[in-house]
Amino acid sequence: MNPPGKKSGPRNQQEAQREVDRLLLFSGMMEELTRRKVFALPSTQKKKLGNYVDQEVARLKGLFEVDTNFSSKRLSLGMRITTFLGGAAFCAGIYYLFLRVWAYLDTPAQVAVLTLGTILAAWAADKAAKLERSLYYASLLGLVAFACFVVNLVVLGATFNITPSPNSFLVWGLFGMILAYGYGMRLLLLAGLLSLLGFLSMEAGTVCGIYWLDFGERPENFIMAGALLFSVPLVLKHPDKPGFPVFYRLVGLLSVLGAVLALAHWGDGSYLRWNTKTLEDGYQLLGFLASGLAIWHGIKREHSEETNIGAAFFAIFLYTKFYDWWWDWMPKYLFFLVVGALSVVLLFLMKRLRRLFQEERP
Amino acid sequence: MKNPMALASACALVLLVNAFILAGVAVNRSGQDARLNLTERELTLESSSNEDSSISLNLDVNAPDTLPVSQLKAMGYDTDSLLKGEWRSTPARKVYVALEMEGPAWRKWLADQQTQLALYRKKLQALQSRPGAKSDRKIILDEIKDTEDGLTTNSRLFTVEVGLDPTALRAAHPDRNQCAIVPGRLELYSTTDSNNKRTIGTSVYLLSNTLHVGRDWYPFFRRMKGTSKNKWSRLDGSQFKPWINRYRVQVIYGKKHEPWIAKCEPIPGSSPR
Repeated sequence: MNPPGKKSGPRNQQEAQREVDRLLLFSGMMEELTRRKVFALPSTQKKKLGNYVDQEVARLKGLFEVDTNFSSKRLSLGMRITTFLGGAAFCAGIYYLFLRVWAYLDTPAQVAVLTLGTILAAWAADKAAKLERSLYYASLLGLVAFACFVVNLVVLGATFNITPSPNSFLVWGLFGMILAYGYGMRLLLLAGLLSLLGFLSMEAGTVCGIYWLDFGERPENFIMAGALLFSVPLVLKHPDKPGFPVFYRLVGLLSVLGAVLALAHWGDGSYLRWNTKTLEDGYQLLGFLASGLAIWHGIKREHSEETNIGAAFFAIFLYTKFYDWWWDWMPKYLFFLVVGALSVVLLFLMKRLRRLFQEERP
Repeated sequence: MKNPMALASACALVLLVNAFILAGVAVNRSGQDARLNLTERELTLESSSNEDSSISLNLDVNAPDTLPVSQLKAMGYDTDSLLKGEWRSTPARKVYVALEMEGPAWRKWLADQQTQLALYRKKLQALQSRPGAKSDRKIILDEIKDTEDGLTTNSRLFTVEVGLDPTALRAAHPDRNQCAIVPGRLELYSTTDSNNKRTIGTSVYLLSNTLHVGRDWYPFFRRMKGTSKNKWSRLDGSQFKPWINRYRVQVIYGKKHEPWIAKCEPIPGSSPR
């Protein structure tokens, strides 16, 4: 908490939006409680409060692109989806345009176009980020720059018949991370993280002796890579970018739990040369433990995405276990009724758990 | 908050990576590991859509269905367990492949085909005098046509050895005008031989089997787009038009075992279809 008289404003759009949401909610609740005659503020204080809220919301709206009502929030979500789709469309267009024209360029011209195209798109993203607070256009152009860089390496590889290598994913990941951290673009962060996840999984496979493109044949590669990415925000704090750790946790957790789920049903895909049934049982147990741990950790640290992913995978592991135990011998109607009843029990337990946590927190 | 160094860092990364790739190409082309003279039999025109203006050639290689157990053991595979049937999903590995052009493997294949042809012709002769054997005669005739067609279209490039060390492979196959050492990918699968005995099947894929053609040769190859040596594309009524190779290509493999096309020329007397 800041000492009295010392103003420290929000550092980014997410904090500003949270501040605006709290102010508007507070103002709305004050009006509602007054209307219900719970209490009544003296008119001077009411006016002072109203002025403060209006001024503060206007100030934050001027500094950051914040939404001040439900409709504009929904529109912002639509704009984010449009940015992503528009960026994806531009990327596909650039790729097909280059495929069409590259035969008419000699090799030095091809290299120049590919390199300069990427640099130009990155420069355009930089300019857009300086002119626009909300970063919609900047994110779109950043995605185009990322796509140009991907096409750059793919086309160079094809032109010079270069043996494919996983290092491309490393440099793509680095490029995405530079733009993401440089401008606060979460879409580029996701692109960078997915590329780095690919590189780390492929390298894990190569170290264990398999051809890098077949890294998917051993899901344990994803467990190692996902765990590494998940742990990054535990070590590297992001005070200026509070929205970034969510993506690390999302990508890391989905990678780990997805791989454990695959191995729980495909023991042959493990590096371990144990009995297949033992491996599958072991990974099923690990799946329950890992998803339970994610729920607990997510509640403790107030990471809703972690809690939700953990709960979803816990349910998947549970239902697949029911299927293994009962599907073959139980009448189908009974199977679904039992699963439905157990879901109700699970809901009841989760509600009790939620009440417990609510009582713990003041 | 925007980082003023972000654009400079991104541009520097792009320039560095491109410079590194081009330096790697220069290193590869600074020396020659092998030089092979191929024709359309070995390098076929890759079919591409109208969206892609580039032209590439596909390397057509004869790879064995199995490899000697000693070679697999040398690469670290537990062949004893695999032959006992303790089969688990075995992921592919990066290997190096010795490709031999018009060598002993090709001559053996030719001899086998000629032997097969002789057998087919003997069978056909035996069926000539047998009434009601029209469909059997047609089957044998088709086999003869297939085999004869294969003699003029089949690639003369054969996989003769697979290993993890390219230097050792080169030492075993020193003729650089006949044998190239190229990076590949090896997959194993469980199968049985003709005596129903369990054996280890292998699939060998080359990592660079598509060669990009330089712009200078585009007019020549563009005229051939849409045609191939595949016999079904040469079907003329109930007959197959004979195939004539239309071009020669010299492929050089560099220090890093990555190929490039050094020379292309039409074969005199042939014409693009």
